Amino acid sequence: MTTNHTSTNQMNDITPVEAIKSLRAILNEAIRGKQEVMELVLACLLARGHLLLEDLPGLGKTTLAKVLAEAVGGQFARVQCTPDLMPSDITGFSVFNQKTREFEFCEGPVFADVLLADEINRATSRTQSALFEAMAERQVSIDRATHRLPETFFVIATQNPVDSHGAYPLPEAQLDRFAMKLSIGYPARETEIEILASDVGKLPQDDVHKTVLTPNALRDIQNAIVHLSVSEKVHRYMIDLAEATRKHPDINLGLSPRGLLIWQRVAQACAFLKGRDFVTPDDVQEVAKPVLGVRLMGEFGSADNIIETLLASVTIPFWD
Amino acid sequence: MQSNASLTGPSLTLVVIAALMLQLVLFDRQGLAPGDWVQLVIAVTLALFIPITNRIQNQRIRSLLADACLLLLFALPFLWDFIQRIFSLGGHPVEVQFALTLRNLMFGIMMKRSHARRQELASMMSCFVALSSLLWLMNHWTIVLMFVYIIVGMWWLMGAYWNRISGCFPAQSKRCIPWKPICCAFALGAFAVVLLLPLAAGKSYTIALQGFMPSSGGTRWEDDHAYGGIGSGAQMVSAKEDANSFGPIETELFLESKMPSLYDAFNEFTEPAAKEKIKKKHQRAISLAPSQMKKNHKRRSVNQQASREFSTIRKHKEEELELSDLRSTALLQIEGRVPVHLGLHTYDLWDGHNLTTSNSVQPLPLTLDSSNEDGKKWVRYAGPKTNELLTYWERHKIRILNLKTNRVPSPPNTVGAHINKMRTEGLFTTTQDGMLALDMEFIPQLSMIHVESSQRNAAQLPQLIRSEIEADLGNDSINNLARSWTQGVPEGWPQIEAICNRLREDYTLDSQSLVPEKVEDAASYFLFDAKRGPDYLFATSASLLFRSLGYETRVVSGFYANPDHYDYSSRLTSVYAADAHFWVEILASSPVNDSTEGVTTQELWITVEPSPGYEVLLAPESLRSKLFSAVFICWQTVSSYPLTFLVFSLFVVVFWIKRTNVYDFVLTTWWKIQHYLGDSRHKVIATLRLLDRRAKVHGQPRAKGIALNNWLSLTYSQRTYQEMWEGRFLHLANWALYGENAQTAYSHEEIIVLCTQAAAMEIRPSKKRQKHSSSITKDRHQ
Repeated sequence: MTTNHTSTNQMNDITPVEAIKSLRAILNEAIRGKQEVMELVLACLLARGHLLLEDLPGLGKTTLAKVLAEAVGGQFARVQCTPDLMPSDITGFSVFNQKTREFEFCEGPVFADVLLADEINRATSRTQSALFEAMAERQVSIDRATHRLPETFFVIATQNPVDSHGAYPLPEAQLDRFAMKLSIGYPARETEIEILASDVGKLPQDDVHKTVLTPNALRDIQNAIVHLSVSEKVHRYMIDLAEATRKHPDINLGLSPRGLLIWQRVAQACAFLKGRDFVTPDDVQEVAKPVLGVRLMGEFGSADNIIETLLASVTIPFWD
Repeated sequence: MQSNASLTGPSLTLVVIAALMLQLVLFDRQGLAPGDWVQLVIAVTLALFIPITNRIQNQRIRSLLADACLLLLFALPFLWDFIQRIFSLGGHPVEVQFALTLRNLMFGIMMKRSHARRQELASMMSCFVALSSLLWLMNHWTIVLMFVYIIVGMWWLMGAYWNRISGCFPAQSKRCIPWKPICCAFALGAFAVVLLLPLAAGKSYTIALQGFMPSSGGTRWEDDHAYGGIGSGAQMVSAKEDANSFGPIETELFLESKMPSLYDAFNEFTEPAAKEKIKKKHQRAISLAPSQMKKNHKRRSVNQQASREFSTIRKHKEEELELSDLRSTALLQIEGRVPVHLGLHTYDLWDGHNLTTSNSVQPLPLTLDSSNEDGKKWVRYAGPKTNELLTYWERHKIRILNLKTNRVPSPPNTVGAHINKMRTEGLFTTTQDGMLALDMEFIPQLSMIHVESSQRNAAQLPQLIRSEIEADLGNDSINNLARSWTQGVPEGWPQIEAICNRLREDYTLDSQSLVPEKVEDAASYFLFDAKRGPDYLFATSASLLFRSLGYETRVVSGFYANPDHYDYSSRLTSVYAADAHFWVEILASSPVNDSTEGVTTQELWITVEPSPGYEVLLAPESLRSKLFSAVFICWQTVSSYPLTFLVFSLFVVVFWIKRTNVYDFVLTTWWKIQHYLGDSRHKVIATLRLLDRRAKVHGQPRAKGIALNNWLSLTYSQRTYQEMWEGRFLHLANWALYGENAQTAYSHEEIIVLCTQAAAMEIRPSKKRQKHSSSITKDRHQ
């Protein structure tokens, strides 16, 4: 387990739109050729959601988390999940101080602003459950004491889709706490050439990324997104979709009201990123796959097709 | 839940058809009553107000207003009827008020877009309204409308089923107690018990549920505006055991009566006065055995409307009701194919003012024929029966109601007649002018006479007989007129048709028109001066014109059984005094196969109808001949107006080729009207509607799951899309549709410009669209 602290800069003179523009640029520079994925990552961050990255090793998951943490001016922490990882390794633990004759609480990595839980499915169910409270309520309860987490607390968890031996699949309750599931995927050929070219002559100390936001500014943007208007038509459309997921024969567990709420928030963030102050069905559709993909329990690999079918079968309200 | 757009059209059609059927019922009962139309207008206005309430932002007020509209629609028929009755402006029976309520509600529900199952509910209501209307009024229009309703209904059912299996997915299987069906079953059971309770108490439904349908009969609660049938159910069907009234029906039961009748039985208890009365008249009658007659010691009602067909499952009432007479204004009723001319008198002389009979006809002797398939005895004219011209045998039942004559109103070429229980031909006779009659002073009321006639085939034209003597009338002007009308027309039937056509086309039938007393020859006055007149002038003039060409004719008076008076429920056509009519018969000859004399010719009178609006009954055509006739008529029409047909055909072809452009033009015009009326948001939505409808017209309807951006990029051409879209109109469209409280960055003028540009966009060709669509799908998968 490693913990990396970065310094925080005050950026009071920058507007939210400019800040988001800079943040987008930083992310796109760090992970090249994946603009659509980066938009979704941004939407997830601004919607106060948590991100599950299902990807192969070496595709930039850690880089993404690090860059994001630095850009929003917060603390970054990484947890490499293994079967022997204990819950206290994540949440923290109390140590008896011989000097003061009292127990002192040592904060775990969960107290960072951006937490990368690498290969989360390698940890035991008990350890995975340690993240429940932190992700849902942004607090940790240890020894009858409740410790608040930063309001901008953001979890990026990764899991390897191919190597399933010795893995503990995430339970439905845990999955429902993630806002979305994404896959960065291999970059295009031209992008890989660019990546190789840019890496020539690059020293480790050169990997310093700009900070464009403060945690407070991020919190303000997140609060602003909450107030973006969603019309009744869009609500009806989302509910129709949710009902369709619950009635679909290939889906074991349909969309929960909590999932519906997260979906709406991510759609709001998506509308914000497009410079709109209201949500449209386009936004709902755009984030449908990552949002529904993490929580619709069906046959493996069939989620995308099912979601496409659902989106095609439910009528979008226009002027009705 | 979203309402399904694909069912909107069929549902709306069902609603409109049902409403139309109900309106036809109201029109049939009360004519053009302004109250019904005003109520319809109010109902439609209220229904149209419901979607307007959707524009109200406050949800509570919105739903309150919509519900208030529905409530008003529900109460409107009762309120309206109440007001109408207060001011003596008419009214409707309760069942019709219920139907009107259903109609109004289906209007309202159809318009209430937020209602989840509005289409299903409105369609179900329309079914009730349509069926009720058909029961109340069964004529050509309602039957055709019902046929259309059934076709659209089948389409609706298929659509609903398809939506059910394609749009929604079956619910997950899970174990639970089905409370909903159980509750429904209990509710239905309770309702059935409530309905069965009256039976347990020994009462019939109509009495037990007294007041629910006060005007439907059997409740003793009479309504002035009831359509009929108040407690008269038992009178409407023929009795098998216990007859209580007299009617024009054939039955084995006979009630004793002092009224004149075709039937008589010896009765020792007959009062002397009655006996004397009967003796004086020396009426012929059919004798009955005393056992067939039921003694009657009280007055029995007369029902001239009997033989309605409806279920007789109602329970027999123990107490005897005082039945009132059910009279009809019809002179007679006829059962059989109509229109038919029922002749009573013939005239072959004309003195300029009066039609008279020369009585020169030699009546044919009558014989009794008992060799019929049905075992009944028929009186027939003696002579040859197989006539090549008269190929179709037609039977009619004639019920005498208020006609006072001994002549049998019989169709042309009547060959036989039958009366129930008749045993001898002596009951019938022929008059001096050759018509069939009964050998008595007049035919008793409620008598039923069967007549058989032979009708000629429409395709077979008779060989007309021309008199060797030239026109004996000495009226040169009529002779000249007849010749001028038939100039160049071949002799025989074409000349008759030519004269009839001229009379029917150039002259006006006016039953009120009178001939001035000073006129010497009414026919000449009609033909040359007035050019309008009643049917006897048409018949007389036609007869004179035919005679001037040498054809043997006679004028016939009688009744015209009008198909407009046909009642589908009783299958009877009523003939009223107003149906008295004059027509012409023309003498023709036809080859006849006689077993004894071989092939000879027979003279017969063929009906010709010169009065406009009257048709002659012909033998029914086969489907093949109907098709040939239709093709022939089409060809005749086309060849008569070749230029018009060519222009029309060209117009149709051009219209078909350019139909999308025409429809596009109509849509754009409608959009322009809307565009200048509403606010900014309304303008944008109107533009989007235009784009949507235009895409539909071009065969590229919007898929239900496609979002705005994708739809526009797929449907409209790339050039215009890039030029005009680039976020501007798309942003505007999104704002209009989904940005309820948001403000737009564009000014009113900019919005107008953007909408105008958007309305001018071109549709992407469908092939390119498919390619583009597949490329987008490919990108998504990658």
